[in-house]
Amino acid sequence: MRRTAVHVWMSALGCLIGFPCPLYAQIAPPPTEAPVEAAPAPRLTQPPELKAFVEATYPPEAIAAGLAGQVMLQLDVDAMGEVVAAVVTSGISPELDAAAVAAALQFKFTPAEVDGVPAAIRLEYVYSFTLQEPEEPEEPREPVVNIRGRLLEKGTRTPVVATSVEIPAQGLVDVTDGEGRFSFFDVPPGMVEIVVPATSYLRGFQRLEVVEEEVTEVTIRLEVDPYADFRTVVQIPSNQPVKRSLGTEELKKIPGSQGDALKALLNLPSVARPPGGAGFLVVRGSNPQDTAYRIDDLFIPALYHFGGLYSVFNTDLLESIDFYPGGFSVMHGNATAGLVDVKLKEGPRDRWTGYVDVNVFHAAAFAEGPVWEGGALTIAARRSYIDAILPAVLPDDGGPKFTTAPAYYDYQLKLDQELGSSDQLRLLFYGSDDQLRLVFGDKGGETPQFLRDGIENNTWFHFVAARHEHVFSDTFRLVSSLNFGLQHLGFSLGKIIDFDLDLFRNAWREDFTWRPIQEFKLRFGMDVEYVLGDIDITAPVTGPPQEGSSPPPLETLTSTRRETSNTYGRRGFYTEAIVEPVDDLTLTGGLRLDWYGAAYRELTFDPRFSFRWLMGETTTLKGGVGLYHRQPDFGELDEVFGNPNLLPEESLQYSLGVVQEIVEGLTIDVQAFYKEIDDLVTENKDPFAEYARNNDGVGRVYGGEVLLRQQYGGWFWGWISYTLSRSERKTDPAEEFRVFDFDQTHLLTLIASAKLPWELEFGVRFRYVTGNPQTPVIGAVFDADAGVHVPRYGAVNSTRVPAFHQLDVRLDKTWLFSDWKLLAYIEVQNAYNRANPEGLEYNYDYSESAIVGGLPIIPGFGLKASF
Amino acid sequence: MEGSVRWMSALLCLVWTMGCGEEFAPASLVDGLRVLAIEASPPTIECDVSQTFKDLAAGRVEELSCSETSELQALVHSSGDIQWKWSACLFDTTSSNAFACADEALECCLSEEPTASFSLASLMLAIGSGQCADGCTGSAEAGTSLVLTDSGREDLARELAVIGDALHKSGALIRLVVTSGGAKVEAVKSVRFSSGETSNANPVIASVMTNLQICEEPDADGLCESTEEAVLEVAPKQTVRFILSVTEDSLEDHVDFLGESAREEMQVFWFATSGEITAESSFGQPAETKWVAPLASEWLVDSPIQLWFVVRDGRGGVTWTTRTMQRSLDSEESG
Repeated sequence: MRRTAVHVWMSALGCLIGFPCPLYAQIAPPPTEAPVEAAPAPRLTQPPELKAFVEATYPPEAIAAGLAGQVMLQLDVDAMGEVVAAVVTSGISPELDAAAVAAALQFKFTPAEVDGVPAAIRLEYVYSFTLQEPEEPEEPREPVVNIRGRLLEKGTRTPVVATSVEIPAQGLVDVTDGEGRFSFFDVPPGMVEIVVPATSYLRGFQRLEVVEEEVTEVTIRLEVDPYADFRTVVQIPSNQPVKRSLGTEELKKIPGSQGDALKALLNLPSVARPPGGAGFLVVRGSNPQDTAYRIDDLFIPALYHFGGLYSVFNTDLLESIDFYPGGFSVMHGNATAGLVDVKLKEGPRDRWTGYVDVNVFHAAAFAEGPVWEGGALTIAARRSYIDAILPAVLPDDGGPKFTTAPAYYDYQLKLDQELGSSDQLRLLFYGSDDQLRLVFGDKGGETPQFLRDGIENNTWFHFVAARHEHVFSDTFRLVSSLNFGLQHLGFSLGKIIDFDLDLFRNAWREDFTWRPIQEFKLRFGMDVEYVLGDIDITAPVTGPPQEGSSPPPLETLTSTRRETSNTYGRRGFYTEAIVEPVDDLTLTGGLRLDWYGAAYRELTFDPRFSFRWLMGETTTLKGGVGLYHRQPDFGELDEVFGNPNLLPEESLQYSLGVVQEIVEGLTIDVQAFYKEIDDLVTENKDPFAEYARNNDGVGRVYGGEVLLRQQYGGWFWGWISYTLSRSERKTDPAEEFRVFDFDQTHLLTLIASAKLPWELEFGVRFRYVTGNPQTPVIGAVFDADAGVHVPRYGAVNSTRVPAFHQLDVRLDKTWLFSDWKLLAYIEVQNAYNRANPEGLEYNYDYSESAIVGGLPIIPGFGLKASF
Repeated sequence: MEGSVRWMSALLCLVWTMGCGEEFAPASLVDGLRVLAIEASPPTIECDVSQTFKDLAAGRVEELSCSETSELQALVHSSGDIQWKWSACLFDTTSSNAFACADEALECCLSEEPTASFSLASLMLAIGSGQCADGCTGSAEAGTSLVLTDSGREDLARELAVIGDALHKSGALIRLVVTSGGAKVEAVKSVRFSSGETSNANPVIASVMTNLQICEEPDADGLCESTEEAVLEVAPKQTVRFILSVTEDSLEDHVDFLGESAREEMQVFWFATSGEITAESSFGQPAETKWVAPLASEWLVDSPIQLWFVVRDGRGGVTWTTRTMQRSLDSEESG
């Protein structure tokens, strides 16, 4: 309740001026002598003025009683203007009277003057008390939003979350929510400036007009600061001795990899350079087929198109690639070298994104986004167009002609679905197709008979995969995976070689994880694989060329045909315990059992152990030892081309290393390794042996590797990797060791990439690799039946071609638009056009030789529009 | 799957190197010591190999089966005198080790002459009688009274043990080593044994036609038949066509390695001591090539150029013919 007091100046001052009034004033004492004549009356020459008013406190009792009115006061004011006395001459109530007196006693006046001299004075004062109707209390007003906005990343439309947005002039600040939204309340109408301070994005700014009683919507698009650490690679401490996790964003940018993350694996330490740029992985001196490839823990039917051109999986489906050059967990079997474990990423559930990509080889389309509650769909497809270009550019001179020009396509369709809070389901449909048919034509009858029918490749697969994860509790989790489908491998070379394999393949995995306490985790599971195959093979009785062998000229070979059906199966069981007995020390021990059944029966046990010790803040010591087995290939088990009684190949692996973080984001990783290989499948040298293959081969691999790596995410990233190694074999225990076909003593790779202004990114890759071993030709014999010379070879792999070195460069340019972005890139492989030696070729009688050079300088380009 | 990757990788390397890299002198250009062909008549001997071994094991040396001989001769080019050595052994015709004898110790010298004869019986007798170890057996004939020595029997037994189940796949590996001056060339040829499935004979050349106007009445195509005896006069840089045909009987029907019925296809290899041959080998019938004479500056008037045409039927049968080219006296280079 509010109250006011009305003050009324007493007109009593008027009585001081002309009217005789009772005054209380200091006047001269009466004279003691009789007046001779009457002196003049004192005269008020300056009336007092109230210069300090004090408001009386309106007593609550009076308010409650509704008392109001005027209180008449008599005030004595001294010559200083101070009120020395206040007497009520007419009051209202004791409370009001007392309040008026109390207030009046605090008044201050300017001194009155009588005859020009400050003097005390008495005056009358009326103090009025007035009661007003209490005002209705105002409803507290809700703040009104009048600016509503959203922050998005320019070009990608990614919401920018947890970021401050300000209106400095109004002192208003808000923070964006999980969808990048912000709002401001009660912003006064008029022009306002909204500012987003620079963080990992460049400073944002928007000027707009706020209109009264209207809500203004605004979207502010922020550009990523190219020099900011906007993406960090989460280093997941691994209990495996050697594991290298790479983000696909990082791998796509490596020059020479054509934006293909799986091809970029070839740049890692311990991965030898395959001849001619083929795509298979030679890991720590082992055969390509000794390394396993997994997607979400299940097999991949094939990794690359045409043996190495492009991978069959769109890189943008991949979350990460874990590469183990050795020492991997008991979770995986049937591999004796390394493991490539590809993880698929979850589709986005907030919005749709995608792109169209066009480059020299193919066109690709990709899209992913939400479809329904908890569901995300990803679609990707890719198709080459070499088949459309080549026939148009090749001369029609009777020479080789493509009746089916090289063509490939692949597709992936993935659905990620949340099923409540404890279950996640993933369905994946994927496939690939490679086609090629090259007819050599007659050209005057020059075509050798064995090539007359040309070369044909017809390879495809179509698979379905499902993955279900169920979280029982914080400590118990189950992942079930299934993969099945059809695969066809068709390959022919004239009449000499003709493969037709039709396979039905399936795999099933159950993986249980139990972690009752932080320091202990138990994992156990099983994985099953089956292959049912119809095989029709025409091939030389020698079978596929084995490592270390030098196949004779095709003209001298005699082929044989075999048709058969077979079933191969494998059941694996594993258990693994991960223990942290003390802080910073992790011990992992496991046992794996594989039972190979159906047409091939063997049982293997694989114990494996590893440790990881975090020594201080920045140093990690790792090591491990383990036993690994692998079933021989189909061809090796065939009774005509191989040996159905072969044992699984075996390797015993040791590794020890240290990882040191030098500064944040810069690490050095040093590893030493040793591997013994036993029961290697080799060619049976006895020409009269029952079977063409045996298990007499042994091998050993030893060496070290260093990886100095600057983390991806900043303006500069890259790595230097160097491997020094030796890989040796002997196909007969009585022989001396000789080097492996792909032994490369020195393997140096330098990757460097930098973000430049104007949305440019420049990258280089330099590689130096010891030349591949060669088996020298020391003579030749003329085969009078075939009419060709057949080489005689010296010691296997006893010489080498000169070293390989090459520089590849790549330049990316991005244009950012509001809701999409355009990426263009130029890539030049072999920038200084080195004629790298890939092998040797010989004249007709092997008396002369010359180096066969690799690919020359190759420019490439591509465009990618993404939204 | 993994095996096909290896085959495809090998193929990639093959395709990669085809036509790539340095240009070497063509195989058709004959220079120095070379073996161009080896003929075995017949190329396939019809006999039962296992019976021969049974006879030997039983000591029936007088009436050994597989006593039929195959006469061996070779087409060799050399600028000097040639030393010859023929030898033979048994081997697995389907083995990857194409030129490996079943028993390296049991490879027997047949002859040190330009020609030789081979029969399975002779070879086995030479082994059994120890002649193989003594040196070249010469032209041994079946029925010769030779005494099987004890060591010889052991050698035969070892041979049989090594071959074992591959007996039905075995053939004879004929090895020819020629030396001339400091050069040495080794050539091999197989002689198969057949139990009478299909016949196999050396092809017969019916004619070699040429565009050189050396006859009075060229045929409808303007071609004349050439002979080995007649020297052909050619101008420098002149292009000469040769069209070679074999007799119809030469194209024998048989069952190929895939078990399918097939007809032999002739492959003709063209050789010359000088000049340029456009096709080093030709398939089909008739087979044709072009030979371009050298430049006048490279071809002396009194230096004849030799050409050879070697015909192979793909099953071990072979024949050849030769032509001599003389630079015409009043010739200038022709376009």
